[in-house]
Amino acid sequence: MKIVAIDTSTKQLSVALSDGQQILAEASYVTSLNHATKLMPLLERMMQEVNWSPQDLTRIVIADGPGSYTGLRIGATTAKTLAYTLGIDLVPVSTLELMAASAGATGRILAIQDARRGTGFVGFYEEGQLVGEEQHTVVAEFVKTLPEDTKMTGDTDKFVTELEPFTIVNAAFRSPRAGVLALLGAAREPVETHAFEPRYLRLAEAEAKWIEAQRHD
Amino acid sequence: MTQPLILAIESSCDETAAAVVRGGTDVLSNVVSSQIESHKRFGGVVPEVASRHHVERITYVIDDALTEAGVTMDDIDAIAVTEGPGLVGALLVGVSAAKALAFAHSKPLLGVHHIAGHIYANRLEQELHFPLVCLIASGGHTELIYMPEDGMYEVIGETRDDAAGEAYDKVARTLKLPYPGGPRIDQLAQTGQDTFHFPRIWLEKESYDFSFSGLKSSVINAVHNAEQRGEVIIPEDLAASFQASVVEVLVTKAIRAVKEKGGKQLLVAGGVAANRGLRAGLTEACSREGIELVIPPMHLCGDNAAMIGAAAIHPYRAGRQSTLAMNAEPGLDLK
Ligand SMILES: [Zn+2]
Repeated sequence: MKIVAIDTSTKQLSVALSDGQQILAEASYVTSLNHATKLMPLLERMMQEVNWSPQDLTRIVIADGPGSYTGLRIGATTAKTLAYTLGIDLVPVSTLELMAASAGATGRILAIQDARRGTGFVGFYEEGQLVGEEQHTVVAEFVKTLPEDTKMTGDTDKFVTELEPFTIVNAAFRSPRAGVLALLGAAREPVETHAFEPRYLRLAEAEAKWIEAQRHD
Repeated sequence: MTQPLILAIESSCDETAAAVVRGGTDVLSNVVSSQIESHKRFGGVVPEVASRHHVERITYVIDDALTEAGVTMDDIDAIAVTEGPGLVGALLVGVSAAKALAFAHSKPLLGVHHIAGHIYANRLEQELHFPLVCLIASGGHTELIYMPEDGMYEVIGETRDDAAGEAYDKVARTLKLPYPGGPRIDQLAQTGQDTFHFPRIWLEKESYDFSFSGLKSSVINAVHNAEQRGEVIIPEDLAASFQASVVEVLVTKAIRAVKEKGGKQLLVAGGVAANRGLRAGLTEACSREGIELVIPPMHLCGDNAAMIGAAAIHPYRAGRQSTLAMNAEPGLDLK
């Protein structure tokens, strides 16, 4: 197997190459890079360094959200176009699941992405399994429903007071890693490439307002 | 010299499009997936919604373009894509897809200016003779461009406020016409009379620039005043009056530019080139002045990827390849 894993869903850019068993190459940049300009040159360089050509690839694993809308689209479009044109498998994995898995901890983990005004995208994972649904919610309210041994990862520094009662995952493990993504997606069922879309977990603002307006009519 | 086969992608606004063009002139396929139905409910293009639709459609249109052309990626010599201007989130989808294709198949990547695309849509139908002058009129642009030779652009006039198409959309909203308003106004104008005599905005005597915001305000005021006085406005006449002002200014300035610049042809490009009032006005003025008028057929006026494939022949022949670091350039200048 020759897997490329891509995560552009947050401000971090992470790319990895894997044979399905191990991570062969991995690069992550957590500074605010421009994903649009950096993703493909980085992927190209990494492939050259391990001596892979695009035609060797067998699978693309993509972190499909939630996350920044623009970042998600750059990753999703790149991943689905590669999978389509090379005729290989496309496997999406939740960005929140990836964050929980990247934390390298067992037990209960809540992955949080800041979505402003006290809200966040959250996913509650127990031994790697999603409990309930990933959702966009008010973080202060949501965490009250969680067991107190839940570890917190992701944008925890944006919710310092809300997360006070909980253990925060060490900063070294709080960013999603494409190497972890590659292994998560190595054995999963691929999706229909053409129909693949990122999971925004939130309607476009104009669409939400439009639906709201229909309801009042 | 064998003619290169170019796969072109366009996603700058609300059409997801891909095409295969040979040698910059021969269209093998031209697939456009329009989002107009989705944006209708908002009364205009919503960038976030447009971007989401592009991701949904992009590989379908690429696949359709290749299939309809009867070719595979192995046959393709280069990938062209609209680099800008346009909506940044929308452009990024096309750019990301184009880069993925170029990388996967080790093909040259060519960035194309959207307006260059509209201009070269004309060459898909007939030969161009330089120097020439091109009038660009669309929802986002109103420009006069002088082209001393093939592939060389000099912007000699542009709008100082609204684009012509934008003014159409705003006037249409005032008349409570459904989106997209431009074609509706054109339709109403066919049976109306210029009874309002709205101002013609010429700006400085020698300027090739345009301004439509004053005209738009005059139209909106006319409607509001009539409402306050309880008078009924005849929409056909209002549309005809508005259109008469727009067309007279566009036509007069375009003709003057052709004469002063010694242009051999007047090209028209952009979505507003589909406007019947403008087509009629230009046809009449050009035949009176003995100027050769080149207008693309209706199906090549709106955004499409065949026009991007046509314009891409210049960077291709000049060896002006883009790198995989190509970005979307929402404010890209035409050079
Ligand atoms: Zn256009």
